[in-house]
Amino acid sequence: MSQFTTNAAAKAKKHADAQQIVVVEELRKRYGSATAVDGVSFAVHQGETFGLLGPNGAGKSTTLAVMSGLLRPDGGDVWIGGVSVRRSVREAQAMIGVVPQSLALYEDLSAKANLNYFAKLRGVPKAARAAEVSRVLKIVALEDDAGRRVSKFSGGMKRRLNIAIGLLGNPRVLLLDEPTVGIDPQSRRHILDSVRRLADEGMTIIYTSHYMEEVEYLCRRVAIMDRGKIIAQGPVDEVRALAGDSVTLILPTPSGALGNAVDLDALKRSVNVPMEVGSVEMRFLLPQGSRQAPELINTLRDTGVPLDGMRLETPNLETVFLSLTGKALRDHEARENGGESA
Amino acid sequence: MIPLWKSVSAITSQRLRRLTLDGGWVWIALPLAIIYVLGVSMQGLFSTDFTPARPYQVAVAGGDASTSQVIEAMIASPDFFSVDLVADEDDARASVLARRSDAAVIVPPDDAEQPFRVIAPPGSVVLEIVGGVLRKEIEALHGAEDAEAEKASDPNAPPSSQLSSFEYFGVGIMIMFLMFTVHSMMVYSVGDRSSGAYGRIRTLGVSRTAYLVAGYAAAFVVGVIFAGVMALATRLIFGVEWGDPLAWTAVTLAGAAGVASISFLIMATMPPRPKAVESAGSTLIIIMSMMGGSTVPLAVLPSWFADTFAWLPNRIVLDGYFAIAAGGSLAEVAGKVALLLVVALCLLLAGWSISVVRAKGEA
Repeated sequence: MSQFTTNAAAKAKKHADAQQIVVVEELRKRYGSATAVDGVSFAVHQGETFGLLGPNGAGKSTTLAVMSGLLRPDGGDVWIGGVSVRRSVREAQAMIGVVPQSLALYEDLSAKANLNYFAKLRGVPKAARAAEVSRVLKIVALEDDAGRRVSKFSGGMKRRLNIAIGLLGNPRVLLLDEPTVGIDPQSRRHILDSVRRLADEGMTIIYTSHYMEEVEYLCRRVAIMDRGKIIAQGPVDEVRALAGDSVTLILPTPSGALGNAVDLDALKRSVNVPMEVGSVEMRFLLPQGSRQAPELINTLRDTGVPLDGMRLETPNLETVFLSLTGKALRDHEARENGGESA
Repeated sequence: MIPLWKSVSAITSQRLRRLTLDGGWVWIALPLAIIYVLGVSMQGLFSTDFTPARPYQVAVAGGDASTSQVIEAMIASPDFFSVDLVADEDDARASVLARRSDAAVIVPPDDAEQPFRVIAPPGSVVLEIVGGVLRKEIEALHGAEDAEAEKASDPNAPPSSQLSSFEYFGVGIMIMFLMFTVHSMMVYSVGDRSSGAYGRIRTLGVSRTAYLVAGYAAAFVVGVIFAGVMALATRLIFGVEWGDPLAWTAVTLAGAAGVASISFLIMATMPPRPKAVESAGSTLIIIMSMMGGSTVPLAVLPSWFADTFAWLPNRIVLDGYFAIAAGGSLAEVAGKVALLLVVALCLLLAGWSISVVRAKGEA
């Protein structure tokens, strides 16, 4: 665990610090013999956008499920606005809005009917419901499509409606669980901008993602999770600095060319740095000023790997994750695409 | 957080809306079409004027004076029977197996105490008709007292035997589709779980209890509405007589509760996948409808079969409606209503217990 994995939440006095609207303390959750969340602690300040970054299966969604009162923790607790989720789950839930990773929508109903239904369950009074529905439709720019059946929506529009439902009742804290999964870049940009506007208006947001560029764009502070634990947390700049003076050497390759050309085992033996092989590129984490780059490229050429050029990237959260765990943030995707990490 | 009744009301009304938008009219049109087809095609079977297209070939084997009495009774109905006298039971059986005869009657010796036996394909019309003739012969042989006893012990005789095909299938198919409609509402609950809507609803402050109650209530309410609409439609279109409204209401409410409990139990035991729950429910409903007399008339079912499955909730509802249609009052169906409510409660408690165990770990 890094020096930045502070025990801030544990040290913090939940009720004393009015700035901390969300406090997660030593949270644990098991599914049978598998530990999904293992002693997670962090705190989020009022009006802050906090990023929870990690690969698939890191425990982000389970953490959010416990925070939103859906799952009972096996250990630890979560305080929302000073209210314990463990002790007063309904009271805590009244303060949060949840945007689940799955599209929790009724496709056979219109966007408006969906919003009306969830607004009713949220407890929005009948007299205020129409105005509230209009308000959230405006935020996600779906006013013109309010009457259309959700089944006719594009993936991006469904994602936006998914967010709109989470905004009903103007919650103090918004939990967003990978809200941009599986959508086109334009819709993604739209969602990110909407989230940023909400943050600018003072809403507290906890944003989980395995896209480091989204977290870097939205959040001032971040926690990086892996295998149920927080391996680093703090302001983005400070966490980024954990990668030290490293730079990432990226060697693009023609699509599909790596599949048979690379003897990964041989490569690992000859390269003594963290590396990740994707379907269209290879990434190597090198110390700043390292002279290994030419040597690496020569090795690859000798093994017959076709290269499409090279570029160096300054440290980012992805680099941090690679340096701390020796694997890529999106190694799941890399595997799906035929790549591997080492 | 909103009160439990408001959550239940919101979820119930939303599901009714979805059912209506989701081609809900099919749930009314389809059973009406099936009632029409069965009503027309099975008219002869339910009519007192029924005669088969050709006389049934019946092989008769056995005893003495009784044999000739049976043969005489059959010969008296030349439109129905053509009789072959065969040497013994084996010949009679072989004749049916080789399809030389539609049925065989084994007449016991006069001094024997065993009853007449009829050999014919199970559930066939000929079996029922030959059986009817034999019952009359038993009456003649043993006197009116025995005949009354025989009649009273035959659960199929009253009151369904007095119905037209439209009246019979109007009730039977309505009950079958009552189960389908109620089950489709329960599938919505499973759909919520697989889409993530369940989780979202829970995070809005709706308790698990409220959600389960709402799911059950929605299924129950849809069942009652469906039964009401179908009763009205079959009354207007096919002239189905549903009898005393008070008794009808009691049977309908208890029936809808029983059917909703069956679906609830299916939902609680199956994996939370809509397709799986839908398939399991549909299969069970079709089997229950066949065994419970909805699709195959009780008069055609072998009596042992009809008796064996008289405990099925849908069969209890069927018997209840038939009793009311035949002039029965609330008092006369009170036993059936009470039984249905007990069954509904037991199934609901079983489903609830399973869902509690499966929800372990939920807040």
